[in-house]
Amino acid sequence: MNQLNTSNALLEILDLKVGIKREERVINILDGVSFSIKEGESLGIVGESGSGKSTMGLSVLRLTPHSTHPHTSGQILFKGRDILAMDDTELQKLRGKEISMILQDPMTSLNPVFRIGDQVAEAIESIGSLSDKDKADRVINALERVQIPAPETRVDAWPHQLSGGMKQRVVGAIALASQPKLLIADEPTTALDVTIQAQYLQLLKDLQQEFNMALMFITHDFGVVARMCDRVCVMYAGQIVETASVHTIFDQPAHWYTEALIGGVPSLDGKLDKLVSIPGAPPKLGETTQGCRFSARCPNSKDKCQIREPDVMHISDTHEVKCWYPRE
Amino acid sequence: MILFRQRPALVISAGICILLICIALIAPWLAPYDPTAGNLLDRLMPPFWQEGGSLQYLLGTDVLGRDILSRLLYGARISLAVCLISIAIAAVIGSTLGIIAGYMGGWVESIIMRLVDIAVSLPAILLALLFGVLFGPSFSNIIIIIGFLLWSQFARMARGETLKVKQNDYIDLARTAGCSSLDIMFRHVLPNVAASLIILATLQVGTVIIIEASLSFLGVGVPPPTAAWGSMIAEGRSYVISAWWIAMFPGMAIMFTVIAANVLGDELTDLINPALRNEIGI
Amino acid sequence: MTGYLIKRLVELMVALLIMSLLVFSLARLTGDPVALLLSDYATEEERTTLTQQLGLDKPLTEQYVIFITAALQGDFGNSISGNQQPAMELVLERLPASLMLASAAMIISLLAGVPMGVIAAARRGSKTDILIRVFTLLGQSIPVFWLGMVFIYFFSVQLGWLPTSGYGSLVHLILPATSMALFTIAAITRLTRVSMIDALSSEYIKLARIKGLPERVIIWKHALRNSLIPLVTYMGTFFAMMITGAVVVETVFSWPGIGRLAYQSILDRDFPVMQAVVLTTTVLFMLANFAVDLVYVWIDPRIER
Repeated sequence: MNQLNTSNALLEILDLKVGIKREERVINILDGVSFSIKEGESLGIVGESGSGKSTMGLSVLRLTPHSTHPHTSGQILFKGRDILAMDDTELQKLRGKEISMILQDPMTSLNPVFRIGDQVAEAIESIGSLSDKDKADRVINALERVQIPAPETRVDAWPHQLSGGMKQRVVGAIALASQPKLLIADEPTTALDVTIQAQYLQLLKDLQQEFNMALMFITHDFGVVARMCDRVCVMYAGQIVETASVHTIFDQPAHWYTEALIGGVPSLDGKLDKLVSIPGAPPKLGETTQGCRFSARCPNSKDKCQIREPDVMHISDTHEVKCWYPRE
Repeated sequence: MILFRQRPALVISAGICILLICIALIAPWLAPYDPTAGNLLDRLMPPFWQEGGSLQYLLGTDVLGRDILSRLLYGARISLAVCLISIAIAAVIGSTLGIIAGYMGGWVESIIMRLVDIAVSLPAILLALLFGVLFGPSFSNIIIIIGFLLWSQFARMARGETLKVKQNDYIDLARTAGCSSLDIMFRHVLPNVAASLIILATLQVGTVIIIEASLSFLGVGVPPPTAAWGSMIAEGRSYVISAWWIAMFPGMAIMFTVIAANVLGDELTDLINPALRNEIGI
Repeated sequence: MTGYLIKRLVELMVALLIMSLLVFSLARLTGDPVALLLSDYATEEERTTLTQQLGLDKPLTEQYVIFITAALQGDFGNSISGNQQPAMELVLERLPASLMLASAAMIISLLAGVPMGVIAAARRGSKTDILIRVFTLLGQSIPVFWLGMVFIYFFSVQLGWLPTSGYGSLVHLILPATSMALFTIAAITRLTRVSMIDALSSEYIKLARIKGLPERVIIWKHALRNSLIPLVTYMGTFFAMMITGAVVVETVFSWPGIGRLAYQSILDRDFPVMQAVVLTTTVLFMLANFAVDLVYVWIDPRIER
């Protein structure tokens, strides 16, 4: 396969399939996902629960459960090198240094028996050897950067003494300690108070610009996407059904699912917790369909949709959709 | 058959346990000799495959000429009986107290749980020894002792599970419908708590067998001449070198029985409620 | 937290009191010590004198108070057997031996059990894991006293590597300590394994992996530190097992400790020694439990200081 970084993409996902074995069958959680992220670009991965978006995030760093490893295929190219082909040493060099991740639940992300300062210090240590003083300074810097007040006292705190918002900032500090090239954020604000969400998102955005970091932002909230992302991939049942710039997605969504999600309304508040507006339900994990996976619920479904899985159509250089009869 | 493929350990251990129970039940018909009557002329005979042994006494004889095999079989009866009865008593008393504590709350709960805490802080074996020696070794005493050692575990588990069940809506429903507390406790709480209690009971079997054997070994278990595995080992102690079989076979019997019981208990825990592992402290 | 510890202390005191009552009453209620001490031909006069001497003619409650006051000063009377040493003296003589045995067993259990549990969890499902689990199953299914005898048979008699019994050097300690430790090794291994598996599947371990930390550090530093907490809570039960094991093991190996003393005194109806031993053991047991409580508060940062 072509290993050259021709499209100057930082991260390139090629036909990624991740499956697990359930009662003698292999079920694909991710079924042929392809997209790319450029340096400094912010890409949103949007989908409901069960669409496979979290697995997408974990796969980049190969953090999916062991049982999925024999059923993983495709390529994940980072700066031209395939992550799926790396050995443990190379992978370790990548994690926490060039690619980092923020998990969803701040309450459980931090180790309860170690102090905040120590946990941040660990992230800093792995970059290189430093004097104790240097390390301590850097830890405080890292905490300051994520706007944690009075960082000098906070370093000695235990995780349980911090609020959810504070914890998530610490997680951010850890993730950004090494100034990674790519940050994967898996629903970082979902578990936070609504009042803090906006602050946190602004923080992430500022830091992204400061470090010229690429951002893979996984969420179910289109409103957040509008704030944070340059481009968007919409996921449904383990596949990407549409990829476009944020403007295009809201202006001219080509896939019927995308359109239903956004609700055809220009105001950007479409949350996707429950798809009450779309009749039917997404296919259960393991249910195989012959044609398009959305056809059962699509208002525009035709015969061809039921029989053959749609190819990916290029509407423009930056707009792709997986549909036989996309919206005009 | 599917069950066997998926969980071979469960099937095998359950099979062995059932087999052991059957053997214990039909021991009087299975045993070739009376376990307490020995023929002094045939004393200290080795198992049949060794020199000096004979097919008459398959596993050899002890110092009083009693057939080891028969004693082993009757010993199984003792172990089984002690197990079942003492666990049943501990389970009934402990669970009742635990459910009451969990459901009633308040000072009732405080008192009961305080009792449990104190019972747990007392060194069990010393109490057992004291009791056994002072009231004389007997079958019923052993059951009382072991029951006493076990009840607190059931009380704790029952209370914990009751607290969980209490949060369910159907409890409120029953109360508004006018059910008395007693009613609710035994018709609504108990069935839901029963599963974990049964699992606890199965997990205790192995422990009880070893406790019974230990007490018999120390001489405060079932009194001679009744055959019990523990006392057989004690008797065989002086003959470890000259007549190893007297102590060896009962020891192996204990080992196999406890292994089977433990595996069965583990498998059942896994099957029904793996989360219980943390509560039991395994 | 101080409130909690004080509450615990009070609970233990109450338990101690109850134990003393139990020992006292059980001893008195079941058999006349005078009859044991004197021969069948003793005269009525001799009986009365001894009864008065032993204070057995006073009402029970008074006897109990006398008993408690004396006990608090360490005076449990004299042993009725042998050369009638003061009971407490006997106990203190034998105490070091038991402590030596218990400590050795504890050290062996922890040094063997924890690493095995960690490895079994880290290599879950592998042959190593299965092997370790089989070992723990056996360890918890073999009665200690039988194992002791088997050990003696193989290592002392057949192979002649180690002495059969006796007390004195490290060599004498090996067999008894190992027999006693077997059950607790198995229990510690299982507990560590389960806690580790729990810890390893948590989110903070995922984060540790994201940080790019080597697997070794993740297991032995991050995961293990969390698994120690349930282990400490379980230590209380371990001490109980230690005491139980002590009685049996000391008997099998003729180890001169207080476990054997307890057993012997109970058989002999040697009330003074019986009371001294049982109460000393109870106190030790409770101290151990209390220490566990302290360690637990110290080790888990989530508990309010």
